[in-house]
Amino acid sequence: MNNKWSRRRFTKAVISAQVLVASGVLTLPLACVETKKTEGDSSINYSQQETLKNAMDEIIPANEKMPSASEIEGVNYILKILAELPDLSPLFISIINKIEAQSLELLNSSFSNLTKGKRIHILTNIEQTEPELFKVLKDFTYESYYTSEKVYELIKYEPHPTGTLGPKMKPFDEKLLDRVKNIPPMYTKI
Amino acid sequence: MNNEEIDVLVIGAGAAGAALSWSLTEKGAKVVCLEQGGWIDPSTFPSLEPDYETQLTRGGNFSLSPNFRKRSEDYPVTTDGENPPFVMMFNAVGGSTIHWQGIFPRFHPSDFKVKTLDGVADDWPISYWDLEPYYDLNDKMIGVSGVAGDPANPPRSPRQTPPLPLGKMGNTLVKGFEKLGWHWWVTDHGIISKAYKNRSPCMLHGKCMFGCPMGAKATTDRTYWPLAIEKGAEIRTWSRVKEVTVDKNGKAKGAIYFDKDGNTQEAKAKVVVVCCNGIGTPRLLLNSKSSLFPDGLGNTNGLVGKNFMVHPGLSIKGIFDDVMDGHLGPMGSPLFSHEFYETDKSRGFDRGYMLYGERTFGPLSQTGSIPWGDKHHEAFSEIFPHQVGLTVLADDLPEVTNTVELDKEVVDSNGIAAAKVTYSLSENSKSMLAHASQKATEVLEAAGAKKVIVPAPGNMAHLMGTARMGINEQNSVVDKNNKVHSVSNLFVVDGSSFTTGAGVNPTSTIMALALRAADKIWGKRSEWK
Ligand SMILES: Cc1cc2nc3c(=O)[nH]c(=O)nc-3n(C[C@H](O)[C@H](O)[C@H](O)COP(=O)(O)OP(=O)(O)OC[C@H]3O[C@@H](n4cnc5c(N)ncnc54)[C@H](O)[C@@H]3O)c2cc1C
Ligand code: SF4
Repeated sequence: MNNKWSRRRFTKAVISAQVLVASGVLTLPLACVETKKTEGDSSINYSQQETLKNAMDEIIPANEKMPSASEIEGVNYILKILAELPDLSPLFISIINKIEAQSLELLNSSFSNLTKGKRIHILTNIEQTEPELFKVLKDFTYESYYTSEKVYELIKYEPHPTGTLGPKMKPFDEKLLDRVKNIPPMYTKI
Repeated sequence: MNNEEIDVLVIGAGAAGAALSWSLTEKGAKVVCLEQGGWIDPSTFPSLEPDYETQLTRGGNFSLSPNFRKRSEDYPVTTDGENPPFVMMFNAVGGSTIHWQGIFPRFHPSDFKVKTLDGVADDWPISYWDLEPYYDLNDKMIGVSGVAGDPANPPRSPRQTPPLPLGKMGNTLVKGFEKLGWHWWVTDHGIISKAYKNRSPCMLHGKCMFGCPMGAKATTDRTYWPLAIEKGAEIRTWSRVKEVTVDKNGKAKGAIYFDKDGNTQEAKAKVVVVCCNGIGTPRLLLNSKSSLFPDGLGNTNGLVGKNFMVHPGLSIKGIFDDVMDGHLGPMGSPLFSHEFYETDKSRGFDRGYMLYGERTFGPLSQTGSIPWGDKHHEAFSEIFPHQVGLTVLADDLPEVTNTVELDKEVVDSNGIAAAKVTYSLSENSKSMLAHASQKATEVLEAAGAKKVIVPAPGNMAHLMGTARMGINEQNSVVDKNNKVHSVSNLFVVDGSSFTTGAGVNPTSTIMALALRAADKIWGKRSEWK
């Protein structure tokens, strides 16, 4: 947080935010900015990205209604996070290396060349032997998916960030309280 | 304000510090408040972004726990015990109200007299009726939405704004309670449903825990502080108090604090009031050692930090076939029930609990238990948007073994010892939670849930009991006016001073106590030197 954020600036910002939001003028952009990364400027190389994509697509596969994780730019999402938080890169590289090492060791093939059933076998094995590492991959896959505008549309989720007008809801109907209102006092009088 | 001119030095600018500072300044006292955090820029609130839930799933600088946030103004809180709590608080002007949900119930009269009524814990040295005018004053100051007339509570004055909408999930819960013929009532909120005192009404987004830029949620940076500052109060931000100092007669002299550049400063005052919450306050008192008080200030009987209470809870979820849209509407609670609030010994435990409808976050935070792989979409579509939350908040009776101490190794960014919290659920709380989980399940099933998920017990963000109020100096830290027994001009005003925790959210009581303590402090001004 900016140490110089002062009470005067605070008051000014509060007033303008209130006015703009109330008038519906301030509608903040949905979802985080998609800064498309190219393979070239990423900390994980092309073949590692391929492994990541295939693993993410087993974690959230496509079905008849929903896309897979990579179809909603899941790999780009992770690349963006790694650009913002480079300290996470070694963790992702070690997950990817683990997936590839196990594929070679157990099934004598690269992960990307395995069939779906065999990829699931490898991921299940990692989930059991390295649960914390696997959880990182799973959690970021879920995050990439359930922060995506495309997915929001498909699951009919309207995010209503606080910079927008908010949903319409029916006002409270006091008649609902008719029965309870007539209960004698329930609290202990002391 | 010059350091020599201060009448009352308040430490902590959260819910209690704000209400107390406003009241004293309004009366004419010269008040300075030292706050370790700063003013929060509303444009940095995560609630402005659709991906705000990443604050919950992987942390961030608005994470609920200081241990995840790790801002320089946060201090670490280590945990221990059979049920180490998940510690939640915020450190800034506004304190934890920056995060709070605004659920605003009052204690029951019986909560102040549990020893007399039930033979457990201790009575408070004050009654509900001593606090009632201050509850009312506080409601007027911040603006409460709700409706008076609840038979489970004493009558109260009309609420400042009408109730917030129930939404589909709230109306579904109403069906459950009505079918069972149980008590329920629409929740009082420190969130306004109509414009009030220059603040805009709630626009029903949800996400309130991650900042309300509208100001509809009563955070004290938007309610009390602007009024107090207008009247002359001064907040010194980025000022972390290291210790409260005493003179050779054992009177509080002021405080030594680190300023934003890490230099130590000293502020002197006639009266010192500690409002650092149920963890920050015992930490500061224990860190305030001197030759007169070698075990820390107010700790002559060893009770500072003992009897920590945090409200055990259960976040029970019902899964319905219909769309419930539990994420729509303010993140507080549409309604609550006090059906099982007062003691009924036949239930096998003392005191009772509140059940309250609780809205959900968005889709990401609902994926925690969703399997990966081929069953993923099916499992997700079963719960989203079909969940209804019914939360249990259990009365937490004080246990001397539940404590806040100084951590022997971990320190904050100024090198001051961190707090260590030890907590285990009592047998009484365990029995209460077991009963509550059955009753919550009954409500959800009566409302039509096809499945009910009861998770392991958790805890609330309610920090209480660690500098408790009492008549007897031997078993309490402060007297009925929040004055520390052994120091004539030192006060503790926040949840630490609670003698018992009750079965409701604490902040309306914390703020009412703060307004009352301000009156008591002002009433003794002829003794200020
Ligand atoms: C996520 C969340 C949801 C909540 N929801 C509700 C709810 O719905 N209803 C309800 O009743 N309550 C709720 N609460 C609890 C409520 O926020 C607190 O009860 C209330 O804010 C406590 O007020 P306080 O003044 O005692 O402490 P705080 O508001 O925590 O303020 C303490 C202040 O002291 C400062 N401080 C501490 N140590 C020092 C030091 N050494 N030097 C200088 N400054 C210091 C801190 O920085 C902080 O700003 C919630 C809390 C959280 C975190
Ligand atoms: S729902 Fe209401 S209280 Fe919550 S952030 Fe929006 S305006 Fe504020």
